[in-house]
Amino acid sequence: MNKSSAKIRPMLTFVRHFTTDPVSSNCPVKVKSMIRVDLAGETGADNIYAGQMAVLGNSEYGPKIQEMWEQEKYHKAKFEELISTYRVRPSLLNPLWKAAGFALGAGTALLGPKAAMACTVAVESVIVEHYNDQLRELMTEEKIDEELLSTIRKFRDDEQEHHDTGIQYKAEEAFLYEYLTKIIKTGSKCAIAVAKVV
Amino acid sequence: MDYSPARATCWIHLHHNLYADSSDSSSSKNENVENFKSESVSPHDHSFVSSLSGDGEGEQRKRDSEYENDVKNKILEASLNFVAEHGWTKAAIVAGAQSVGYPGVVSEMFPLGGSNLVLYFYSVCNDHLREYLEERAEAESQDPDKQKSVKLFIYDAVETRLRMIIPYIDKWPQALATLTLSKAVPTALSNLLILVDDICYYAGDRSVDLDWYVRRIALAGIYKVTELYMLQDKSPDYEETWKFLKKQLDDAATMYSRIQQSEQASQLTKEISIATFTTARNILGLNWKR
Repeated sequence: MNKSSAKIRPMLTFVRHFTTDPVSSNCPVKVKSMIRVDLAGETGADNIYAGQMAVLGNSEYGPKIQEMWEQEKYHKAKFEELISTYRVRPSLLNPLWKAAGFALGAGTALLGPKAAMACTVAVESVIVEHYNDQLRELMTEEKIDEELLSTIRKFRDDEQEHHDTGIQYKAEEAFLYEYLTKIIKTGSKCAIAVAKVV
Repeated sequence: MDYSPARATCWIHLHHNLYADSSDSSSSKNENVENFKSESVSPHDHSFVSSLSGDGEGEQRKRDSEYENDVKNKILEASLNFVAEHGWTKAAIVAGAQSVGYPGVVSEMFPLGGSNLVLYFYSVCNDHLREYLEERAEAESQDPDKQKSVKLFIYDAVETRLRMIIPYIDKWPQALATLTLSKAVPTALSNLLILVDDICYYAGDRSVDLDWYVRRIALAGIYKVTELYMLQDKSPDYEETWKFLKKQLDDAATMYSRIQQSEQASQLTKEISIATFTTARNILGLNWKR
């Protein structure tokens, strides 16, 4: 038992060093991890809408999804800008977030427009919660980063709007709504936990 | 022997207490004495506050560790002068510590011995390089005439960094060997990562994707290979090394354009998958305007 833990520990320190951000800037590690996970999240969201559009692009839901997609694209661009100004290491699993996002968006859209909206509701509710957590955490910082704070606050409001739009488009009438949203919510939460570190 | 790092630190505090009594005139020592005085007194001053708020103690600990780091850095800086004589060893640290007025036992503050000295040197060089690159990047942004290609910028950065090793080149193989000690590896790796990240950042790399990793790992490889080449280079002013470096960078640039081509291929797969979706959609009849 002891022997194996002695072997694992150097490996863990190795991983920890490799996954910490290399730059010795003033930006705290916590904030860096926030920006990294947010970019990963917005990348995923961008691809979810891309997947939905690939299936539902020509239906009556098209314009509304397109509208939300445009906002997600803007969010993603904003975090890409932040990630280079704060010199944050991007998530190593970015291609995975892209693929998973697209698959989720297209998959639920194939189940029907209501299921697609249910997916939107589930994902956006997790993201809103996640942004709220971040806002709370940022408020406790000694030096409050106003730019980041206002950006996240604005994006949180956007995501809340998407969530409401989903409800408005009868997401709750989707087949097995309860289970579908539960699964997607758990998946998104896991993805957030992973993207914080890797 | 029980000269633990903690003991060594205690000794330093005691040491300064002695200096405080016997009014020493050396300015740097006085500075340390001031530091020590304020620190030794403050726990009593803040004990009431800290019992209320709880973070006075944390603050105190933070200042303690800052102070300890200052002392450590001072000793390591002095030790660099003895590297030519003793190599990257504990003996150099002992000699360095003695040269700035600490007893040899404080070398126990450095559990990795010689590795600690190498790591210190590495990060100091990184700091110098960062300052240099910062200045250069700023100068280039102000004066567009001075702007050089990214490849030249990187070449120049790597050369500047490698030249910092030249004063210690005779003992550098030993330094590389000490960095492979399992306990020194993580910090050595993160030092290398800091180095290549700085170069990439100031060279204007703003990638946010896997490119970020590709560029940094490639540059780290080039840096390490060139460093090894330099060790056996006997040409005047290391001409061969710089030639070698140039060739490596050219090769990497070619390779990178290949990678980008394969990225275009992955773009194609994406388009194909979207086309498949459209077809599936048509077959399922989802495409009708309803």
